[in-house]
Amino acid sequence: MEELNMRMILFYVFSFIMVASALGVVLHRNPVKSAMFLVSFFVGLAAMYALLGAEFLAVVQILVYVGAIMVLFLFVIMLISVREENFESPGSNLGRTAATVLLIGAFAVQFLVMARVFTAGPGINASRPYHGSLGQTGKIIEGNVELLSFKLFQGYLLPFELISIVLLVAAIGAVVLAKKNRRKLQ
Amino acid sequence: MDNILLIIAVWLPLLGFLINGLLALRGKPANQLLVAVAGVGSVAVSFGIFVWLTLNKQAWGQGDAQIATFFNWLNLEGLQLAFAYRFDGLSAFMAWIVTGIGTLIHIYSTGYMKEEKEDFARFFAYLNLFIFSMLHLVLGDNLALLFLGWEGVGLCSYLLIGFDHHKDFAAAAGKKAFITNRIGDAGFLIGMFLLFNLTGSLQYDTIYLRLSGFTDTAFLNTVAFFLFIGAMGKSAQIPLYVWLPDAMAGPTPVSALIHAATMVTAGIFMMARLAPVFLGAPETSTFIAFIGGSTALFAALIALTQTDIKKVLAYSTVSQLGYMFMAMGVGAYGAGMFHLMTHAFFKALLFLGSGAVILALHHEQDMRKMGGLFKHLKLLAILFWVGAIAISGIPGFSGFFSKDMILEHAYTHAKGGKILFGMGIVTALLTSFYMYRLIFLTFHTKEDAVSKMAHSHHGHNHHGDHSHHGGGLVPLGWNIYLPLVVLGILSVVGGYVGLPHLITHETPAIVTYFDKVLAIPPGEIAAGWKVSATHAEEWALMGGSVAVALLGLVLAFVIYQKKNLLPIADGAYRKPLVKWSFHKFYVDELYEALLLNPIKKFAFFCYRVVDARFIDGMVDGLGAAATAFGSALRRLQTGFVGDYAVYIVVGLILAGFIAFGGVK
Amino acid sequence: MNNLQNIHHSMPIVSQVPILYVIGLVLILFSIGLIGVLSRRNVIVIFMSVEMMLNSVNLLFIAFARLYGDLGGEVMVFFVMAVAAAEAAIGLALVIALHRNYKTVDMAEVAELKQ
Repeated sequence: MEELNMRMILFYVFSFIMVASALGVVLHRNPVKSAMFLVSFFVGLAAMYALLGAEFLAVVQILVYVGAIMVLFLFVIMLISVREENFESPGSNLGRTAATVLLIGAFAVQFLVMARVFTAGPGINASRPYHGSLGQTGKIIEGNVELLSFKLFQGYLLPFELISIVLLVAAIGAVVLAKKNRRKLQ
Repeated sequence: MDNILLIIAVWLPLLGFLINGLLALRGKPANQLLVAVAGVGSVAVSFGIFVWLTLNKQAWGQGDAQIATFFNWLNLEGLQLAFAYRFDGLSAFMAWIVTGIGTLIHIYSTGYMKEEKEDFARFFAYLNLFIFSMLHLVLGDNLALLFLGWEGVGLCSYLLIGFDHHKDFAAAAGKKAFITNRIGDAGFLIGMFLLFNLTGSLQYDTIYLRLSGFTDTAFLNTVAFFLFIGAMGKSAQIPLYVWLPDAMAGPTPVSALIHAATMVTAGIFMMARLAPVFLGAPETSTFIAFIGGSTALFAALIALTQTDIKKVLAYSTVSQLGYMFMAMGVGAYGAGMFHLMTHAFFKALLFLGSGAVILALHHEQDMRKMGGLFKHLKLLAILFWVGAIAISGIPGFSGFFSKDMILEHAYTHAKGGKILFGMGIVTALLTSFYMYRLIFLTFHTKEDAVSKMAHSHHGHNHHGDHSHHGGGLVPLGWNIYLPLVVLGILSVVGGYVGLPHLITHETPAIVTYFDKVLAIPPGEIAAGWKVSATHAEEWALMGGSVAVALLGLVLAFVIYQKKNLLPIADGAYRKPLVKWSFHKFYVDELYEALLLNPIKKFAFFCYRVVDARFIDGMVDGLGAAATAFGSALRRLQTGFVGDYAVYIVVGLILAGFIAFGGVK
Repeated sequence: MNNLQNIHHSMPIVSQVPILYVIGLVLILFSIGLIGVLSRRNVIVIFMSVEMMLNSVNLLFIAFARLYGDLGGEVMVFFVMAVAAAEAAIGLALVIALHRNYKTVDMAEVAELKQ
């Protein structure tokens, strides 16, 4: 076979971490430990982003998922205090799991068909510059973060602003949903 | 302008129908004057328009038809149908008869139906609808319109026979007429399809054009045969005549208009309209002639012993229709149409006259309870005599000319002409006998109907609401007598359009007219169909028919007037022939045994076995299968969110296979 | 077949990750997430599995953005993350509301869809 280069070695390492963490999330009976595996998954994913040359998103991944969302998860788990006797026994859903595995087989077939159709290039070169970058300024910018910011604020300004409204609505919605409403319960 | 008038004339009766129909729907007695004006007026104006159109028309040849297209009906590939009316010599002739006699009978009905307070408007609505349908039948420019009218008059006939629908026998008679006609209509439809298959059109001109030069007699024989089955049903020929005598359950004006003068002649009209088809089918035509002759003879035999005055006239109508078919069958289209006209006159006269008698005698129809009416109803009796003389063929009256023309053509027919003539002459004897029998029994026997009635009505007075009690006759108004007088005059003079050539030494006017109108090439008929007769033979024929008419008169006079032999009570006849005749040769019973019972058994089989077991089982099985399938599917509804998620994924994957499965 | 061979031949080139490898990884991760969603009953774990599926797709976006040299893919990931944050907030609020009403987070006990 061909020689292994550094990037491929890293790819394998991160892949292993992510797959193992994902299996941990799904298979572990204790939700708290599942959440810890998920943190590991997200970190591995961030590393993979960096490996593929998306440095900015790697950082955002750590900040948003590990820093914010996972804290929220753990907070909720602690809040509702899942007890040991409520843990699922493994294999309590054997039938459904079997069906799922079959489905995944079918799913994989499809995915591979699609992959064959849509993969044109040979591989991913992380140092290759994005094309059509920043024609307006006339300036050549190499850094990923700068490129992304231009793209985001020039081409996607309206969606960017809209997503902030979505977040606001979601925050209000979360408050409304989680608030105790005794009158409604009675 | 003329075209618009033509369309108006056809649709006017519908206006009368709508007005009277709406009045009838109100459910309370309508203003009789209003109903009469709408009912009579619409038909009378229609008649006036036809007269005007006729007077305006220049030429009456085959190509001179006035065609008024109302709108395009169907526009399919290979079938163009226009809602168009055709005003030519034939349809004008029929339109005159339909609306002319129709007007008279409408006027008569205003008097006859006076007592029917609730149903007065309904009756006129139906009559107007009938005229409307009949005009479509005769004036339609294609076979589809003819069939539309054909079914329309069938419907009106059904409605009017069962006019007293609360009486069981009337409702049953209506159904019998309708169902019997279905058989004929099926045949007619088949004939129509065959003709369409042959000519690719239903429009008359196109059919005529395509038929000229077409010489496949086998095919034309088939077409003509099926068309004739339709005529059999509508015009009451053997074996489908059984509905017409029962149709007398309807009010008498209906019997006069629909079941004597107009609707039942639709079959003859249809044959004249499609003369090229029947001319190309000599074998079927001979068959038709023999069916007509047999019907004439058979119905006359039954009429001999009937005691119901309307039944006698009904069988007489069947018999006379037989004459007409005999004429059509031997290719004497002019003679057939001539007899259609004269028959319309004198049979309408006789029916309306019998209606007047029935009305005067408080709805008594049994001739055994009549008699001696001459001194009470002189004018009516004279008019009745006119009608009877006309139908029996005494020279000078219309029936003589038309009947004699038919007999002469029958005699000279190449195939079986002598037999046809024999049937015709015997029928003429019988006709004369039963008509004078009717007259003597009704008007001239010594016993007086009025005094008879006084006895019979003493105990059970059904008509207590009438202005008189027991004895007296119901007075007859001018609107009863006016149509009778007009028809009486027509019955006399109507025959003079067809004076025999023995007297005038030229072809009768009416024959010339129809030869021109129907596009029958002169001489073509004579070629294969006719044998010649000497003048002596023709004089003998005429003398013979006059002789049998007089013989019938004398026989009836001797038996019923001199010897005063009343028909005896029901079913008490000893002599087999008389007994059979009285029981109508048991034809109804025969049909019952041969056709109806097997059909009923089959229907019962279908109901009990095919429907209850097989079809219901199939339906129930489907239901049970659906239930079973449903309860199987119900297991999918676990209520657990996870299971639903699985279904979503299954669906997604299936959608993915559909979307991407084809990608290579 | 052609594409696969191209990818195969280009393997030795330094600093390139074959796209099929990434696709395979994403497939595995997405499938594990799917198994989690379908087979677990604890609603929080189901929710975490959903997050994993979402993120594995993100990875695919980035890989293709790189492959085609189009930054639109990365912008899309950015938006997905924002929406995921909103979704997490709402979802966890729902979990709390569920727990308050049913005193459980086990979906097997919340079989109300049958009614």
